[in-house]
Amino acid sequence: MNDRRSLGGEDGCGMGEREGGDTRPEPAAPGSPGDRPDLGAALAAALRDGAVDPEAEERALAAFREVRAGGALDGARTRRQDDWRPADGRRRGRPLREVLIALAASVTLGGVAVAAIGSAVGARDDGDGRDGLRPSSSAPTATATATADDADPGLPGPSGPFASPGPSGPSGRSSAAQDLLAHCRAYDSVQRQGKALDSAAWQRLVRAAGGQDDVEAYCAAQSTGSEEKKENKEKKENKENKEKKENKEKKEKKEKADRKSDEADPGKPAKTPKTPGKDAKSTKEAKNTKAEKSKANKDSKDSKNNEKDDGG
Amino acid sequence: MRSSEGELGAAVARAQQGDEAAFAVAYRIVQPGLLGYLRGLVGAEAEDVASDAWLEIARDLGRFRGDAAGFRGWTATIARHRALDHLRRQKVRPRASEVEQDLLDLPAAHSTDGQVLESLGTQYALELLSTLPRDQAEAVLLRVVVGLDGPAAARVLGKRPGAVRTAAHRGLKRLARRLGAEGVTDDGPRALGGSE
Repeated sequence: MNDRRSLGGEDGCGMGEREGGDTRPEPAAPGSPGDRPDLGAALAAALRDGAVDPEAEERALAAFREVRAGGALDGARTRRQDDWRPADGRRRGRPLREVLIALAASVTLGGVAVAAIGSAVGARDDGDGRDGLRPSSSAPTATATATADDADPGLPGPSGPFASPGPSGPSGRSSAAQDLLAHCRAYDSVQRQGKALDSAAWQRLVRAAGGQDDVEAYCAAQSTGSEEKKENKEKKENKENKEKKENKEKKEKKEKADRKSDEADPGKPAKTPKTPGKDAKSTKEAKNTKAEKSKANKDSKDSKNNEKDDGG
Repeated sequence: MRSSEGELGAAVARAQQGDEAAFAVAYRIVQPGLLGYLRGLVGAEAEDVASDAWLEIARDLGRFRGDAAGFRGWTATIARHRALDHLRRQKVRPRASEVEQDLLDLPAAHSTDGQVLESLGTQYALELLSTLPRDQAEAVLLRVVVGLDGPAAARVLGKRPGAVRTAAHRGLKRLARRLGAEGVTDDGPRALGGSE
């Protein structure tokens, strides 16, 4: 191959001028950035090798004529790899196609789904007394459901062979029980977070247990034994708990009373500095009434609230 | 190369309308870069692969959308696919092994950068390129020889623009080191490390 030429041209001369021409240092600064464009140009010139082979060109033109004669220049669809327009031009074109494809796909799949639903609904409709309109193949189910409807006319809801209320009852109950157990398990952690206990679910649990202090025992009862045992236990424990509550309340009242007397003591500084005497009296009275209230509502007492009131 | 962009764009547009002379103009503008790129990929087989590529370019010309730079990228992609097909068939690496012996006789061994480049022929340029990792060599070829910009070169290679930019930069740097090295067949970085 006699390819080793072609660089003696413009690029080589340009480089010589740039370097000053006359004296060249031995291995002159090869890594300096200025050299790289020239290196690239030299590479390009060496590899591009200006001369175009006429035979090759003629082959390409013959191919072009053939394609043109076949009419393939016009009707050809632009594939993605053929679209080299700037990015924004491409983006304008593509989404429309994708949207159309997505639309077609959704319509197709949706149609299948609707068809499936329609067949199921048709089978169920047989039970609603439109037997005459249906072909005879579906008659057995229709009569069966019709008799079922006759048997208990009080049921207004769907009474076809698909709507059997039997299994749903127990499963619902069991899921409620599971919820309860889950609440019980989470109770300990929630208890420490204060406000979480105000939510409806927890209040339900507290109500079911008969009070906040009884939740643990209630949960223990729920998690062990059968439902009947639980009920018995609940009753027993509720009684015990009530007694406990009463004892607790009594203790608390005593403590409150002690605290109130401390606050009312004129020797100690009261919380509100302006008129200590009056405030002490009024709070005392308020607390007394509260204590009486809590006495009266033993069953629905909420010791925490009382403690809060005392604090404020 | 840049001055021909407007001419190339117009020629491509007219060729798509069926103008054979315009197709010839586009061919003459694009072919040198394409051939240089293919020489870097498949060596002596470049002419044959280029012929195959132009058959496909003519066949799919009606599908193409874009300007002159886009046409360069589109044709480079087609040429690259043909070259890779060729390499797969031949199971030959893109580095032409026959030039190994020539390298020993090159005057480059004791000359400066400029002197090397003055005597840099196609074979030597190919041999230089063959010292690069494949991705760097291809990035340099597409950027420097075909004349693509970074994003276009990245699209041809199916890589991110940043990766291609880095590869081209490293490739050119490495070539410069090799040229500056006392012996071209040495492992490059030595001389550069000494001079800096």
